[in-house]
Amino acid sequence: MKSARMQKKAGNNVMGMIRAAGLGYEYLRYEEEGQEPEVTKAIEDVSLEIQKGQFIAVLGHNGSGKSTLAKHINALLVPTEGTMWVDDMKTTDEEDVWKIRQKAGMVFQNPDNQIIGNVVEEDVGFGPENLGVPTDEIWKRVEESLTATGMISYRAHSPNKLSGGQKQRVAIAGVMAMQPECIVLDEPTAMLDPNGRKEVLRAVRKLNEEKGVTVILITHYMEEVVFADRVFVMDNGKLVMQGTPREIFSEVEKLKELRLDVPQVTLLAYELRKNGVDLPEGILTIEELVNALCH
Amino acid sequence: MLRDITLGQYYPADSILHRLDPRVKFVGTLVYVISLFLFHNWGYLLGTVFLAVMIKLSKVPFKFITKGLKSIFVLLAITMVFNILFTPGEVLVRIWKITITREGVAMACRMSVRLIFLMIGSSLMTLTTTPNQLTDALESLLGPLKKIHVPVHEISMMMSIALRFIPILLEETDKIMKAQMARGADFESGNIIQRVKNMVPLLVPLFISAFRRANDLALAMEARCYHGGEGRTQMKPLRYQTRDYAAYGVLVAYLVCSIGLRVCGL
Amino acid sequence: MSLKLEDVTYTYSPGTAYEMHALEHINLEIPNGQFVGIIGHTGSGKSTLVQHLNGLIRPTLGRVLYNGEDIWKEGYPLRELRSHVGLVFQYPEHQLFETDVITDVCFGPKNQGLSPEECRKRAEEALDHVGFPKEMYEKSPFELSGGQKRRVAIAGVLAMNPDFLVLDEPTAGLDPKGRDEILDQLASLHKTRGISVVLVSHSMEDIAKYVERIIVMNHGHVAFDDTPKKVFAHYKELEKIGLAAPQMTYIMHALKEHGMDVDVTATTVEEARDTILAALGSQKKNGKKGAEVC
Repeated sequence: MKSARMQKKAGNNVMGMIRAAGLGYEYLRYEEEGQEPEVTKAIEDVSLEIQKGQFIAVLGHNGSGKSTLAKHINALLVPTEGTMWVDDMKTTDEEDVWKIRQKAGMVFQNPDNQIIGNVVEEDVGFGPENLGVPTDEIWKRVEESLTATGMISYRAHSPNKLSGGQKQRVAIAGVMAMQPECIVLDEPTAMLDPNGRKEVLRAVRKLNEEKGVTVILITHYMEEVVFADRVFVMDNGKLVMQGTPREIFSEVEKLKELRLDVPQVTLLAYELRKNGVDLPEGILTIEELVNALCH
Repeated sequence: MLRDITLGQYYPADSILHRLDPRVKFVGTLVYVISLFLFHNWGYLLGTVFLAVMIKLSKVPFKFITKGLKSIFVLLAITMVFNILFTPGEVLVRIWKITITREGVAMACRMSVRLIFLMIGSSLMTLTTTPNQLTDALESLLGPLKKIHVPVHEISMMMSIALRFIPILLEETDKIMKAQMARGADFESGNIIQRVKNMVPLLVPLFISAFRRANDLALAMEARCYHGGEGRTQMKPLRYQTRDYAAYGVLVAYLVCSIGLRVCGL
Repeated sequence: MSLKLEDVTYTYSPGTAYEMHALEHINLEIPNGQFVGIIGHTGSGKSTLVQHLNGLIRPTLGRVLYNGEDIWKEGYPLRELRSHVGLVFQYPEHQLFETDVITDVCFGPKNQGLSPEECRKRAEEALDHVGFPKEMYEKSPFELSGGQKRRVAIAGVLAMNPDFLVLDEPTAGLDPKGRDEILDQLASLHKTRGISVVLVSHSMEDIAKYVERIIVMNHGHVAFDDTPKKVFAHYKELEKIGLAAPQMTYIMHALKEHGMDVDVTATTVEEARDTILAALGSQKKNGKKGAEVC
């Protein structure tokens, strides 16, 4: 008995906080009236493991299935094939759905369409209210999470008066107030300007580094991926590449085939290598390139 | 252009009326409206004094309070004309077939005073209470209706979401309109039928956008564990303070006086 | 043909507490056939500026001239102007409303009063220009992918045969490949049809790659108006107003600081590659090794 429990605990440490095994999601598409619906696979046979505290980036062109995958982590979608575990809970077990959603929070693309409250602090309090957290505790959590995302001075503002980056930071605070272990961000910067993107990314990295929150960032912007511990690349519903940013970005040709890009520094280094300059593979930052060229 | 419209007409200030529990203000407005219909003669003096004191306490500039009156001007004019013309009684003036009676004039004056006071009274509530507080008050006051399966929580949630999204949709309307104008659409000329037809390029995208937003929002709410009012706690629960009880006392006293005046026939 | 703004000032809600100067004394001329980029952080007035170009906003002060004529003088055909100056808003796919792609693209030409055949011809040409496949003409625009919707929406403006095409962030939210495809098509339109393209963008890399002139907006003023190389030479000033230079500019300056003899005005990957290769080549010729130079 004791050893079994020990084993389970040990297993917890080894096995990831988020695990997918043979995950598949199918849906029916109705093309024209009277026609047989077409079965479309949004994701197919995805297996992956994410450890607690990791910063994960997911890349893939539009329609590659990365958003569908994200929604599985939050149990907003349940797989038609395979299994998804969040903290050892299966997303298909209905009684665990609310626990899973509390553990794995989600931030969406459009900042306007995910803010519910008419005042910043009330919106951040929305999640804890739903969880049945006592009033005093809600206030404490709201203050903490607004401070963590640097939005505390806007607590009494109307969300309509904020910039896109600020709205996304409010949305992140709203998720943080539920005290999740993991936060999934589905293209949170796609609708923002460069400064808004920087703000959001800074806030997310801070949560990951200081609070140890597991981050899963879905994005189109290659520069945002450089800091990740691990990168997953999706194409046609399948997981086609995974590795560290350096490993992923050293395959410039393959990424281009997948309708993706590499950071411009990496591209320049790649071009120079092609022309016979002696440089290591997978250069990710300006400093790396300058050092490699000059020493 | 459209974004300047602010909903509700909350006037931020720090006054006793602003601090009162929204439920008290809601009930207070109701009591005041009832009292207006109880008054005969001297009652109006009581009503006027009460309103004047409230305006003073609210710290809202008088100019803001009377702003709302413009919108009821037409209604006011019609009411007056009807009352003057069609109330039978002691004849004051007769021009051709039109007769004006003493009772008619009195009635018209009384009705207009009622309407104006009613308008000012309710503006005073919306000026001192945020739309959010109002929905909270409504949810709390209608709470007993939950027993007969009225979805009180859902209604108030819908109202609060509507408040959040109306400015966004207004801005969106403005944007789509401009985008279609850039494609040569004409929203200004033509007869009624033509104009309605011309609205299609505006309305279809607007509806689609509203549905998309609703869909996104529902997903975001679910992701944040929203599952109806059951087991939900509140960040800002309404709790009565001493001043709220005092205010209820004042209201009861006011209502008793109004009824008293009516019963005494004054 | 040219578009000219003369001393244009635009004030939101003048005379109220919300009064805000979105534009102040703007003087600009966009001649025929130019590829212009407009950059500026959110709220710098660039959206307000582009809406002046086709008469959607009337300037509070100053004049807007198309071919030398004041577009706000009495009786000026504003609707006609809008077919000469096409404006594509941000997320233009949100204005699609017809039941199929081709009818939606015909909306603009139809408003110009063209015959159904002519409309169809224009629409097909426009869809072709943005690389939209013929076999999908009868599809509902709402079934398309994000990138395809964007193409249809741009074609909807293009079908009016404008001489000036103004686009407010046409690549927002697209994936990298979709971004490049749309920008390449715009560049080819500029080349083959000779129309002026005004591109509002947040991406300095895109701007550097495509445009021949950059207008930098800041707080309702024109901060810079010059060729990309000259504008990006002021990269420190750009940073001060919340903008940045393309990544290449930073790399070139860093290399230069380390003693490598590169051309600091290189803004695209190709230019950077060439100047670095040239610098490395001359180092070799001089018999020095990399380490010795730096």
